[in-house]
Amino acid sequence: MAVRAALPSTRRIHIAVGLVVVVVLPLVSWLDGSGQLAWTMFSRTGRYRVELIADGVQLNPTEVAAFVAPGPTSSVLAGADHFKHHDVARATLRRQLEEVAILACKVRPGATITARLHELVKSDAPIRTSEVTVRCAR
Amino acid sequence: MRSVIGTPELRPLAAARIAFGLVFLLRTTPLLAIFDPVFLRGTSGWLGWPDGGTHVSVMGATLPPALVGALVILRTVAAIALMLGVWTRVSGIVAGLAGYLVLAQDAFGYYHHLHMLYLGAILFALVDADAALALRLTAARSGRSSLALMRVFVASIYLWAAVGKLASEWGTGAALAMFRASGALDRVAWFLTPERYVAIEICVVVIEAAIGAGLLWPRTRRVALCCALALHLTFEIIARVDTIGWQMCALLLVFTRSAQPRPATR
Repeated sequence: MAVRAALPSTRRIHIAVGLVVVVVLPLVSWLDGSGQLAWTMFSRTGRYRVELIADGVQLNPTEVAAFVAPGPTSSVLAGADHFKHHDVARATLRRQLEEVAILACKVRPGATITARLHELVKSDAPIRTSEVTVRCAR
Repeated sequence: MRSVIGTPELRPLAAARIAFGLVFLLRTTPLLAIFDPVFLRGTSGWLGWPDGGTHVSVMGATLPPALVGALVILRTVAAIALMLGVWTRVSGIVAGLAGYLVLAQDAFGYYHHLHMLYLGAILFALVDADAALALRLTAARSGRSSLALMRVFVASIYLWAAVGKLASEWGTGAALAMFRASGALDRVAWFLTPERYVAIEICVVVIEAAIGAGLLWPRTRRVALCCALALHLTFEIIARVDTIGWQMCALLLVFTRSAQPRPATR
């Protein structure tokens, strides 16, 4: 089987794809603070803590973790009332904090849930806190 | 035999496709269940198979469980086709996209190695990975740029990994202290003393950066390849790194060379 002469368009596609997967995707995810597409496995030391409040009363994230099926969501929330070391989970939680609050609604239907995420990107960095509040349906 | 072997100079790319497809299947199906690997514990073995539980999906893109189950089956069939070299250009894209869609059903299920698995499958679909060692051979369209794309992609993983560590706390001793405290390095806890943390962290970053750069130059490629294999073997022995090492070893095959054709003898 003979190798066909390289079609310029194919070569151009390879260059474009290369730029996207080697430069653009990692750089964009780096700039959004997560580094999730920048091959940062085992690189980061970020930690997080989740605080859930239902109608002014503390709700332990482990209680929500027990409600969902065993798996990644459950692992991330279990014990999250104390700082946990998992940088990918930290970055994902920041993006999905509202969904976590909605998840907590299943444990406290009808309540007003406030979800707070406390992030420690590095050991000596200040704690960054984000917060969302949702009103749960009955 | 010639109809399966195909273009000799693209055999490394094809070998990488076969190995990568195999690792894809081993990671996303219960094939290894009898060996009880950590990544299959507590699961059905079919990565992302609907379990009836509540999950947080990415951007609210929750799909019906039946559709997710169908995507898992489609992903598996496509991965088998990719490995065997059957309609590789379609099967790689289907395996990758189905994988990403299933992954999006649980935002907290994201891991770097799963992204690598699905992105890798898509990349193998876009290059001439089916021009050799494939059940259904296709004529190469641009063999040189195909090899170059995969090689630069693999080298970039090492370089970005080094950059990520440099930008984090690697080199201060904090990273290894944290990993050790988490129990991830229990097998070598006897060796990891706080005095050694900084030196080990700097060594890892330097080696990763050197491998990434070394793979890109033909003169240093062989040494870099040996260092990369040694690095992954070490990580495999001392830490729980899921299938990252296997995936990287499969991808590293793109840096090998097929044997030179023997001169014709009379």
